[in-house]
Amino acid sequence: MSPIELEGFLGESRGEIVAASAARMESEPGMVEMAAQRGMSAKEICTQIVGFWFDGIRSDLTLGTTAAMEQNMAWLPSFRSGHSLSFDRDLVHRFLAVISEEIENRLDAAGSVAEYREYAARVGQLIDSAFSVVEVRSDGR
Amino acid sequence: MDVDEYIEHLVAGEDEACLAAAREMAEDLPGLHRLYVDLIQPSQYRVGELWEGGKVSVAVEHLATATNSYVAGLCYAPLAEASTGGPKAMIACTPDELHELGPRLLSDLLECDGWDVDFYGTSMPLRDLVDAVKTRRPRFVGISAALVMHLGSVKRTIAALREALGEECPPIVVGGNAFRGPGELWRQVGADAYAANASEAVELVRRFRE
Repeated sequence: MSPIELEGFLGESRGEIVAASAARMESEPGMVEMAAQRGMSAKEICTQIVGFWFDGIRSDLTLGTTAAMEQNMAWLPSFRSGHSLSFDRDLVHRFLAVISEEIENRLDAAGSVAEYREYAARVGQLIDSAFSVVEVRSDGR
Repeated sequence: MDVDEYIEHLVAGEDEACLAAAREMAEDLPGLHRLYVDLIQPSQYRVGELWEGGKVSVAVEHLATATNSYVAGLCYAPLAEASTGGPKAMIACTPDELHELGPRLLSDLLECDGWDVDFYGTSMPLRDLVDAVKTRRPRFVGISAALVMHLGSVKRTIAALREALGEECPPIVVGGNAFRGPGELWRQVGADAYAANASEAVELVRRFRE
């Protein structure tokens, strides 16, 4: 699948991938807690986050970069502290794992799945790097 | 007024103070360029950062954008040129892009530079953009993206234009906050050129006039 074909395919599948991923995340205790903090339902906040992430992933796969997720992770520490949110590294990894499963389940070509996994592994490293910054700041060091 | 002071007025919702500062700056065309590039553009980026850090609400962010739009419109109007005979330029956002202030500022400055600009605002449907380019035959197409997550859509748009128009596809220039990061993302979306701000874009596209 060419990058442009992949972009089109993910665009057509957006609704079902976002809905399925959000439904799996809304019962996570961390999301229930965050929803209460924000005065929103867990479903609503999960749909927002998953939609935002999905659009970043779709853009990255089309360009063959991790630029969108790099930018998301670059502002994650200030967003987390600025908005007094309690999400942690494990919860963010869980989001990536769930969205990735839903994407992979819809990619029928083995080559596309392998390519996606390579990309997701790089995003996983970006999450770890972002949270190293968060954790250092939380320690005050 | 420097950008910090301008932002204070902006987030306080003091639109008349913003307008007074802007009018003082934009007495002529070079001043309008400075207003757009040195005050409005950086203030938009900074307000975005303030929201990111939890310092201002979404409501304040929207208010700031609306104020900047109001200020730009009133400062541009006295300097606007009716340039229906000029070369045609086309400025658009991709189908999912909702930020239109940046490309609108560019459209204003292009009009002042003698271009006859078709500005399509936010969320231009891809098929309609392709049809419009075929029909209107602009000298160049400018595509704006504010969010990195929309770069895939920019790439798809450019690929669709090139496929539909072949060798007759006009040059495609991209810009917007999405391209500010490291690396030359504008090349990865398949554009012919990139401009970091509206003034730079006006200079850059002069080569496409003839």
